[in-house]
Amino acid sequence: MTKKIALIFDTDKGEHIANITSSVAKNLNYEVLTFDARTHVLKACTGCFNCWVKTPGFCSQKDSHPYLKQIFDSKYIMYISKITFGGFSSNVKAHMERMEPLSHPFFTKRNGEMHHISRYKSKPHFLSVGFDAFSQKAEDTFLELTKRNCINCSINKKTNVTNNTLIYKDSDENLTSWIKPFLEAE
Amino acid sequence: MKITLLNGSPRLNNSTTKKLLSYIKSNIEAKSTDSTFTEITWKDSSIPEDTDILIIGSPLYYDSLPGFFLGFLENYITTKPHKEMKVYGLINCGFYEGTQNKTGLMIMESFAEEAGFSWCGGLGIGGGGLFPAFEYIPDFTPIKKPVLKALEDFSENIRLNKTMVNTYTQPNCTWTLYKLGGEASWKQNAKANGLTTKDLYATPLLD
Repeated sequence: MTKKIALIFDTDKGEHIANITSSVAKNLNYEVLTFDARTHVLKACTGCFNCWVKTPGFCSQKDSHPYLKQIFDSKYIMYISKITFGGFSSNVKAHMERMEPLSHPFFTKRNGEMHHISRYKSKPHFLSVGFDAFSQKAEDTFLELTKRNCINCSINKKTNVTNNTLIYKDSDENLTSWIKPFLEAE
Repeated sequence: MKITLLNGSPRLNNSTTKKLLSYIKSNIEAKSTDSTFTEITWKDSSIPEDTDILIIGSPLYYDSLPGFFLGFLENYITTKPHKEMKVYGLINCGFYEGTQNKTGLMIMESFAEEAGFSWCGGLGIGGGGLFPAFEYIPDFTPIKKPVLKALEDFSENIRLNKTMVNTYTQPNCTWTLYKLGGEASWKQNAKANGLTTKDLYATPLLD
């Protein structure tokens, strides 16, 4: 798999996190793709299923084609977002939803429950960074959600969801020591 | 009692969410004379201020609510609502297990918390792929039973303003049967679009 990481973020803080991550990744010879969801706007998924049964592998909304081509063979995809109702902001979430053509409509059992099989042999490994939650409850929800996302977006029968998420509390040191082992892993 | 039904599905009226919300509405209407209903979607500008009970309905997208719907909720929060509402959540997914909706309900609860509303609990329904067929299956059939029962209990809790724990259910059929049925329907859809099953495996990004 290509030594490539895609960073999707919004807000100034998200941009800062992306910049730090980017410099760590570049030092480790990664190709870094950054998408500022404030200016790189993708519409959210309309739930039409055309990417499965009409134009398999491509979305009917053509705005995502260049994006998908760039990111689909990344080793990592990292969603960086202000924690919004315990999840991702709508702009960042839209980028996640538009990954749908990378899935195949058929089902498999993963972590003991139903999920979709992958269209391609590999998929970017899912990482997330959240910050500025409204409450502790929202923060806990974010941790639970991103574990679920990790399983949902994985291709392995058993997905290790340990440590895939960082709650960023303004420590760039913590951010660096969290992301490094992922980037150094073979 | 003013009840607002908020449909968060991008598919709007053509959605399972809409069907489930309508079912709940008629359940409540059948037993209550003093309830009035307003039906809105994420395309509307706001939630009516005089709402007593808000029922949020949504499909599950990536373990959360659809991006379009999140945008609506984000905008609504910026209006800093000062209103007491009771909030119930109803969420459905195409995967077999109703429990997969857990984080979707948690997101709804987080929205309620941030808006200053009272979260009263929710219902997560799996096996959504079967719902279009439900219209043609009689209500007494075992396959529908757990879902109909859960919807009735959910409606009754709303009618009585009762707080409930989040509850999960799915149609009464086996995992394997649901998988096979679901895949058969994807193949049918492909065929209707002039595609073969093999075409569904296309990998255009490698070509």
